[in-house]
Amino acid sequence: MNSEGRLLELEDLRKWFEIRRGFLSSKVSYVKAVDGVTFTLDEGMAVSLVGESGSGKTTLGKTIIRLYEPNGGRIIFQDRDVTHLKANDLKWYRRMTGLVQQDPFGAFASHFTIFRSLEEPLLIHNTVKSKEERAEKVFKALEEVRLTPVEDFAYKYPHMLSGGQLQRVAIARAIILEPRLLVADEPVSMLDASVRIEILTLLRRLQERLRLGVIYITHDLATTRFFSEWALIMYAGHVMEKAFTQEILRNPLHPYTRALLTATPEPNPENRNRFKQVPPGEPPALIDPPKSCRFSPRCPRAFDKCFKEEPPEFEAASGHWVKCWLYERSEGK
Amino acid sequence: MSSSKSVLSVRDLKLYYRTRKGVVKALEEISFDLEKEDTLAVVGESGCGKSTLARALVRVLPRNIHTYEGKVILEGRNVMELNEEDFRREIRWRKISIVFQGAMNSFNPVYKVGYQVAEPLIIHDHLEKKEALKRARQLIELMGMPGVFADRYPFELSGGMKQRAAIAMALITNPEIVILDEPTSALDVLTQANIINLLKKIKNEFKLTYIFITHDLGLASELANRVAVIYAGKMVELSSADIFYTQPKHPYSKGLLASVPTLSTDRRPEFITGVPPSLIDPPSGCRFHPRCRFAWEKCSSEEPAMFQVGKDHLVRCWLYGDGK
Ligand SMILES: Nc1ncnc2c1ncn2[C@@H]1O[C@H](COP(=O)(O)OP(=O)(O)OP(=O)(O)O)[C@@H](O)[C@H]1O
Ligand SMILES: Nc1ncnc2c1ncn2[C@@H]1O[C@H](COP(=O)(O)OP(=O)(O)OP(=O)(O)O)[C@@H](O)[C@H]1O
Ligand code: SF4
Ligand SMILES: [Mg+2]
Ligand SMILES: [Mg+2]
Repeated sequence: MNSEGRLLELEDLRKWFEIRRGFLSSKVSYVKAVDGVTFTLDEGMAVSLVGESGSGKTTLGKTIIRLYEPNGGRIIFQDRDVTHLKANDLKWYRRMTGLVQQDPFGAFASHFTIFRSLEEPLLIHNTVKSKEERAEKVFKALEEVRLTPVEDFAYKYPHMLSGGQLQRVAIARAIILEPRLLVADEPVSMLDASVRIEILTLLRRLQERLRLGVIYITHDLATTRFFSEWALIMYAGHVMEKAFTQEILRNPLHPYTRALLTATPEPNPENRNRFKQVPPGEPPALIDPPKSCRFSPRCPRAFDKCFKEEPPEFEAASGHWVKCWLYERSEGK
Repeated sequence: MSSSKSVLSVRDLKLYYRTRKGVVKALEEISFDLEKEDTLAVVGESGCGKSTLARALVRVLPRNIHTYEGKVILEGRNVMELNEEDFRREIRWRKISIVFQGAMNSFNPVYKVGYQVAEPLIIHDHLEKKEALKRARQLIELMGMPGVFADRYPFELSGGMKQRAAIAMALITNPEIVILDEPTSALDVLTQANIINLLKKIKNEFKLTYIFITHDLGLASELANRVAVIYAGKMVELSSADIFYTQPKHPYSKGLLASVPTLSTDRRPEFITGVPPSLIDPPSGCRFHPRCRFAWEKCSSEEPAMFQVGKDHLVRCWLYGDGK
């Protein structure tokens, strides 16, 4: 039995996609999209998964809620091993977890009213029997995401709502079964800046009020700061750095994290007078990646060892983990 | 009114689309001047008319145009008066070129990248194909790509590389003004930063004037020395970047800036409640008044003009109007 308040534990979690080159070929390769992730999340806490396109964020998120079955490692949820749950047990786990995806416009059946879309999970999971009770739940969920007066929104069709409003409906749908863990996969990246903050603020309030665990997936480091306690920086299937969000932003250690911070644009009229020091190149292919630091081809500080061996995670400061040879004896910098 | 130093002056540019639901007033009363080597950032929320402005300037228009009028003065000449043939021969690509929104996804999959980069030259300058391909290759290299990429097909290039090729294509005719419509959206931050560096470099090298369209105010400050804010089809603030980022005047500009999360300060980002209006039936008076914290009666009944609040600084808001 584990400590009070612990919601989720990932131990060396792996998700590899099998691919065959050429359709008669018997040679199997793997896309190592998530390759050894270890992390613990307490109830009511939010963690940001930050990284570039293809770094494995969605795969990790979907593996955690068991839309994918892991190839290795373990997922412990509320002290229960859910790594390879099947059938009814898996259905229970689906109820305990929710997902909000990136594209609010593609998320709803166009011929369903909002009410019908929200009722759907209740029908599938058959958690409430009576029609009245279902309506009550739907209205309550709409209220939670501040789509009020709820009667106004419940009978609308998706095309009548703005992207921000639809994303609220998506959140309502994700929480209607009262899950304990929510994966929000780039929930605001298709929205305007102001609407982004509106939706993230709403998510944050829900998380605090319902004591939800939230996994917030984003490529925008700047939004992590006010909306998550923890941050995991991902690159090419690996977690390169993990710590409290404030700690990572104040004291970034991994060369990749530093590059991300430098590259993130901030409004400042002096920016136009200077060039940014960012590493060139692009992330590596994840098919049979080499045994080295996956950032080494682009890293400004790479040395011999980086090209030969994959670094383990070093605890460079208390609770601050870095997957980089520079921190081998935690001598820092 | 346009100053003698201007390379481009736009006066009362207006563009309406015809749709089944009514006329979309996508752009109205757009006026500004650009001097050589300026970068004007055009910012505003999705659907406010940024791409419409871009298309109006290079006259690449869909069929359902309802109204298209105003003045676009290039080197002292109103090019709106040119017929399509002359505009195509003298202006589009030659003087003003454009990197369209989503350009990296609009390459033709069956032609090699080098050929597509060279295309404006072959079509517009009737250059010998071999010569044009050679130029394309040189430009591709200048964009920081290996020259051999000219012989590849679009699907063989990453998003960042395709976007570089799209920029090369906009430059191949040696234009003076380049419109960049969201040139880095959908790219990763590191790739984005590398492309912004590239845009800075080639601007210096070729003495280019940019119109940089983006919804990202942080990104806008990477290139802009002037900023135009558009809301619901109208310009609401026009300012130097130095003033805009430190002392924005329009309530909408203030709201936009306050919604940008920053890493370097502890300021909590805030949001503007509500959504932009329909452009078929926009609000009376100031189009921003339903969302504005400062609005009073006058704002909903009378439309504010662009009031001058400082040198080269205009704001469309009654807070700065006469007789407030
Ligand atoms: N079903 C699949 N089969 C094979 N490969 C896959 C599959 N899903 C994802 N991948 C690969 O796994 C890697 C990680 O993809 P993933 O979608 O998790 O990245 P991401 O960080 O979410 O990226 P983005 O920011 O673009 O959403 C990529 O190389 C991707 O091509
Ligand atoms: N061909 C068209 N016919 C009718 N309406 C159009 C057409 N093109 C654009 N619009 C409308 O005109 C308005 C301005 O669109 P525009 O594409 O210029 O906005 P934008 O600021 O570039 O937005 P985004 O940031 O999403 O690219 C929108 O309301 C849009 O729906
Ligand atoms: S004119 Fe009125 S409503 Fe419009 S921005 Fe100014 S104060 Fe707000
Ligand atoms: Mg993803
Ligand atoms: Mg646009």
